[in-house]
Amino acid sequence: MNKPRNSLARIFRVPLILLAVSLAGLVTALLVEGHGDVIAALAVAAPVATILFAYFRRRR
Amino acid sequence: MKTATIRGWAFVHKWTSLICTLFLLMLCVTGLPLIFHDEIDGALNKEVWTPANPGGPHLTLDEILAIALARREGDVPIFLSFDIDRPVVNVTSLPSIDAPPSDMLFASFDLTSGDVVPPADVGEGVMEFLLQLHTDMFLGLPGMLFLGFMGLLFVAAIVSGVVLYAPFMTKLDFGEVRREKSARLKWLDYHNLLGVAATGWLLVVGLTGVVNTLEKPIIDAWRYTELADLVSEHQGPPLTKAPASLDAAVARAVEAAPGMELQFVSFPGSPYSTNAHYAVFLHGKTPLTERIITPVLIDAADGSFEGRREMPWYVKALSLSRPLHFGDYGGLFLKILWAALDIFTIIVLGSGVYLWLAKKRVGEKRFLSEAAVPAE
Repeated sequence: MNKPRNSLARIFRVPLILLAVSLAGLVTALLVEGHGDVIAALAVAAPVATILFAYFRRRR
Repeated sequence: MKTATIRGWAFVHKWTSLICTLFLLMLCVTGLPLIFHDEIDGALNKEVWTPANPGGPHLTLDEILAIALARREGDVPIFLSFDIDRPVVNVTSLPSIDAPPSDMLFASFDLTSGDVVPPADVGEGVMEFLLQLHTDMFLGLPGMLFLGFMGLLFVAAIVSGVVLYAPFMTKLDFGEVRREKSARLKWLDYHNLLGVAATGWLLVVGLTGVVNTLEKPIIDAWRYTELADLVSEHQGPPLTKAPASLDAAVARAVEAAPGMELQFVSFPGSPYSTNAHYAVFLHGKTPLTERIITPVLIDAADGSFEGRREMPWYVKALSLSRPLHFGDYGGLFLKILWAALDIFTIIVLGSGVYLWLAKKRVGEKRFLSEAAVPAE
């Protein structure tokens, strides 16, 4: 347990990126139609992909 | 964060979550099939309806209205609405203008033939049940407002959860899960990971859900203030002669609202109109504006234009809260993400209850000292 303490910036770096990306995706999907929808949905998928990645990373 | 601060936020997180968890679980479970409402309807109602004369000329709205009213002698029209992707109009009528809503007669008509379109309602009973449970638990307005309050508690639980994320993560990397140490630590790490990663979606769906529970007061406020203003400016005695052509009235309204599409018509004397006007409601054509409706009043006696009024901001907010809550505005892929995030929410709620029980067993002090690191 002698790991160095994480700073607040470090702790919230990924969560803040996910928050910004998913909110941008949720709003963009409302503003655009067609191909734009897919890109917006990919942004909404970022947290889902992150969670699945974290789950499967150490499973093997 | 000092230990006392952590304990304060933990107190907020514990109680806001505990009170709303059972209801949130119900909302997540009933919400999951509701995301795919259209797809389930489509799968259960395989027979695709086709118009009698595809591409053929349309009957006029006056003709359709006459056919609809002939089905029950003496009925008066209340609403007329237009399907988006097929040549179908829907007519709602009542035996008299002040008859109770339970006497309503609703039917859909083929614009190319005037034939009745059979309702595609296989499985509708189950979906209706789920929807009622999800919106008001069969308790009407009090049920809706109660669920809105649960939604507010849920938002408070999300915010306090994000604050608590910091002291629990001072020694861990993002996404790190301590699988080997104990079931308690493993589920704590999953709870934190899922919760913090999905925060954006959780806040959006939670807050728009709360706005949706205010639908009744919002629509009422609109009807009794802005719409009432528009209507009372023009409110006169009921029509004494036969009303002007519906087609002409609709055409006049479309002219008065360029770039917009028809949504529905409220007839003279009905709840959304005056005694002597057709109220024609139109909506925009872009994804953002297609949920924003604008009423146009047309004098039912002579078909002349009377007035047009934009939606007030609070009704616009409600209109935009619906897609953001339902997830039905970005195709099937977005719906699948909605379902995945819904399932993650169930896991966060379930693990939260588990952690609360585990914490009770080992004692809060030891739980926090093991897992959360205060600042020195």
